[in-house]
Amino acid sequence: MSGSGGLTRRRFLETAVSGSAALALAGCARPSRSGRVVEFWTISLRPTFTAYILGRVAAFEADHPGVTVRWVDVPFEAIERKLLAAAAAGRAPDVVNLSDMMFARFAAAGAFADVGALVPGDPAGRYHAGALDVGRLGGALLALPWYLTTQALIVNRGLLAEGGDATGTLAGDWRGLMAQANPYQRETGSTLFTQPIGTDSQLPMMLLAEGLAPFRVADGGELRADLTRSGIVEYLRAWAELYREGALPREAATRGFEHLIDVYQNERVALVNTGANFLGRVRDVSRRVYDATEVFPPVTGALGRAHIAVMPVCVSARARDPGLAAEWAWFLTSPESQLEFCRLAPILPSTPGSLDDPFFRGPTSAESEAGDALIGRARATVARTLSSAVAFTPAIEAWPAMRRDFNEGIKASLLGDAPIEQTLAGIESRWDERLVEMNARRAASGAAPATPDAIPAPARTNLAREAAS
Amino acid sequence: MSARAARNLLVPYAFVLPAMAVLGVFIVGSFVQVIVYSLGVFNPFEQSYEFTGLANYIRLWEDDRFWWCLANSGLYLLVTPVLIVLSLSCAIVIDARVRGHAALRLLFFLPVVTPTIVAAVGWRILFNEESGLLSALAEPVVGVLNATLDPQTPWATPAWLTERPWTLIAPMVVTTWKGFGFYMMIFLAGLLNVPRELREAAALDGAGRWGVFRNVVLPGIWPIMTLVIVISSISALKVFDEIFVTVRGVPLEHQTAVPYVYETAFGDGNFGIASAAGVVLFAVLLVFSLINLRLTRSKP
Amino acid sequence: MSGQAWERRPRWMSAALYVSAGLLAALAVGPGLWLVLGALQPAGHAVGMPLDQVINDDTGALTQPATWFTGDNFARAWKDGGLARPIMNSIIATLARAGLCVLLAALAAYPLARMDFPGRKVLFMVVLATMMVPEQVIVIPMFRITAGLGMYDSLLGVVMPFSVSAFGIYLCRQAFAQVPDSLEEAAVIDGASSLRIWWSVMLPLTRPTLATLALFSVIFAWSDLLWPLVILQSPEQYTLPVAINGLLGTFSTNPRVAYAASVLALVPIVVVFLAVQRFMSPNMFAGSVKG
Repeated sequence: MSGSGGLTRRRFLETAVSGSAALALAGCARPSRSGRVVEFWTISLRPTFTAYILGRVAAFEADHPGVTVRWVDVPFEAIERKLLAAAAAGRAPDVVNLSDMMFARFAAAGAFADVGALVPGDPAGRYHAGALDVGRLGGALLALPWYLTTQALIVNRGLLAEGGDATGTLAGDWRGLMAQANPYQRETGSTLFTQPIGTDSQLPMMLLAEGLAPFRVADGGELRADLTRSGIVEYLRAWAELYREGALPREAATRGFEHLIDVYQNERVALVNTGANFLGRVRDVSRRVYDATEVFPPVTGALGRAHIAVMPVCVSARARDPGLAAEWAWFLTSPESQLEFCRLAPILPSTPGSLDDPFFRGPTSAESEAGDALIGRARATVARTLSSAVAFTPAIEAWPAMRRDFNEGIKASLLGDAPIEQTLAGIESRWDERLVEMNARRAASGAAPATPDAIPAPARTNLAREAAS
Repeated sequence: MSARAARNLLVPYAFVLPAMAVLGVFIVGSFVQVIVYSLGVFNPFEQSYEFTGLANYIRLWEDDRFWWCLANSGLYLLVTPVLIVLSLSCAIVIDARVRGHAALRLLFFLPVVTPTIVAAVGWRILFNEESGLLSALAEPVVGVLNATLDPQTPWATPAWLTERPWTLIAPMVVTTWKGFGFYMMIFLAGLLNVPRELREAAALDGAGRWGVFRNVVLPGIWPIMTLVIVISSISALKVFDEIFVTVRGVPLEHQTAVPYVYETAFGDGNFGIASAAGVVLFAVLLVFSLINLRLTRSKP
Repeated sequence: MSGQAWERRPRWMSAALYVSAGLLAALAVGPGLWLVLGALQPAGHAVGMPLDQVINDDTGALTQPATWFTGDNFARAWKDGGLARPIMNSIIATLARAGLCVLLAALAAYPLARMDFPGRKVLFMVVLATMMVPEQVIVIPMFRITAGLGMYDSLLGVVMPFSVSAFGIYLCRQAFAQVPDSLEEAAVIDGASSLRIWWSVMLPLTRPTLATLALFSVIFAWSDLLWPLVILQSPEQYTLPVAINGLLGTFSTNPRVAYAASVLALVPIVVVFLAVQRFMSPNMFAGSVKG
């Protein structure tokens, strides 16, 4: 017995030892850190865009002998944890691509350098103005806009007809759609559309798009929260009632954008307003639903302008070589680079010059042959709305935290029975605390407090009128 | 003192040294930093730290959501007795070598080996409120209940992923599902230490099935039982994965303590408060486990 | 062989036992089975309804059985995910971490269970206390420490911080504590050193526990996602869960590919279980006590 026991123990030790040896070898195989290096992080682009990014890296390295661009792709849900951990250990990436929400949050913590002074050209002449404004915080340009995602109205014609509606009679704005949701529900027992209003709530941006900016101007010219004036309360109450009546799916409050694909593919809603990459997913999960689908310009608020989401590219405040890092960011976001990227992905360029390409006027012949003409039509539809589109995102670094406050509050109100006025009053006082705290931090670093300039221009004129009245 | 005696004195320390070095450097070392973070404002980007004393603890104290999360963690402890009864029953059945016990052992253990990321996908599909299997199964049950009891407002099928208390029950189901095979294996290893002869002798003496269990089996596996009680309740209080993957979107106050820490640190970027919450949670766990160990020390 | 008390079970009890065991087994297998079916589903059908393709929506008739399942998702997972390298990395990291976990836990547990020395209680409390630290809160300092030791972006950095498991030490301590004193005393009289006693008396007698711990360590190391995600950054160093996580990226249009990759990840661990469960049989333990 002891013989076989010894054998097992020896085998067990051998395994442990050989494992550790292999590990030590693997540890040695790390790339060395020498020469001029730009470390560049992206979010979830691997494996689909590996070839594209590596191609851009090779082109940049060919122009800049002796320079290495080290590309790291990070999964979406890991980026915040990874970036904070890396920064805490003093090894933040030189250039990083973030979502607009994350950008504002890290910018507030002083993570990024002013690229305006570092890039070799004039950003204002190159980028979509509405997209460029996203990167301007407290007078500095802390990000260059990379690609844009904008939305389209995606309609299941068959389901729409069941409720007696036709694409011709469909409203193009949120208030109109809300008015159509109740009759549709009565007719079919089903829901006309869904929109994230609790988790990842779109309501704060929709308020701006409606010309109901939830801000007022305090005595010193500083921005303060204003969620309790009648227009806003009435608008949000209408949404809450729609939800509580069951005219929106239950997930509209509890899940973010990812629930749209579930409810649309399962034919629980007739339409969704979402990014154009949605179509590819519908095609892959349900050909039948895809074939019943048509695409229309995005739903707007009272201002009649579409909302765009911007993916910013930032240079770290502690970049090893800030000039070189900014050059890489400038190169990556050039019109040529972006046009090439747009051919591969359902996104739009932040450089209006790229839009002149025939690619943005309709389906390519390859798409038509593959039965993907719908995707090409969607691209053209959306590109046409881009010129007037605005990123309905205030340029204040507290905005992500304020949105989280809003999500938490509105969610509790939608799922429970707290009156909407009370919820909004609670959020408003929390928002004011956030704004005061933010301005104090700005003052400490010599920056100006947030004024109405931080509100996207089209929504700002409306804000002024509200404040005056 | 002779050299040999001195060496003998050092022997126990030599055995524990490698493990203690790793725990000391990585876990204790990290936790000391956490305590430091909890006493100030840390900005990782500016590599700056400002001491603020107990300010973070005071803000934590004033945050209702933290208390809700702690209370929910306390409720989550309900999984511990369920897990113990379920896993011990399974272990006893398999230990009795019923026909097919080897296959059962494998099947019961499958959830443990299923990576969380995989289990999450599977359970989200099952919990789906419209198309999920669980809703389909609950529908006739709820229908019958509504028909027979005729409540004022008819019951709906459980909103597993959106409404209280289901948002707490859904992850508890996943924890139980994932854990019972694990504790079953520990109990099985423990049951090997209770000689069969003893059980048979007790049975011959006329002790009933319950008597054999109560007087022979339970005392024999008591050290293992203590371990399972302590470990399973610590992991219940520390639950994160199951909450994160099943009900991530629900309001924070419907979640538990570790998700609170996570959201505060990585959602709000507030390390000070997150660290303070981590330290408080650690203290709660420590006190809880000490009481637990004291209570379970004496054999039944 | 098995206890008579358990054999004189009334018939109704046997029936109830088998029915409940069957239900539990179905519950245990359910989500996994659902996932396997999802991974085998051809494109163009509703994700989340893995048997959607079996019935033709228009006619209500069964479709051709040949079109029910496809291996395409597995092929795509293997190709797009580039899973070969991550599997290799996962095997290395898992073996190293599990090997160290068992070795270091068995070493540390011996004096904690069977020797009397100053600080024993305190050391055991420290071990237990490390179990009470929520991992989520120490990610950032642990990253700083690991990177500071030069282990950033390496498998060493994946393995080392978790190469000791407090649970493992606790489990081994409880097992060692149950070894009869007489066996240890006999070895002491023979003049055996402590290391010798640990090796020739303690380890063989607690083999089922050590095997159980080895199995648990393999499982935890194999499926760990959060830490490798933070400490690794080059795809060449990715472990399998990190690579699978990448397949669920924002631009991926087909979650079935991720399901397929997940099923692939499950296979090796089931094989390990089947291999290890042999060491956990009661016969073996009875043999080592008597022999």
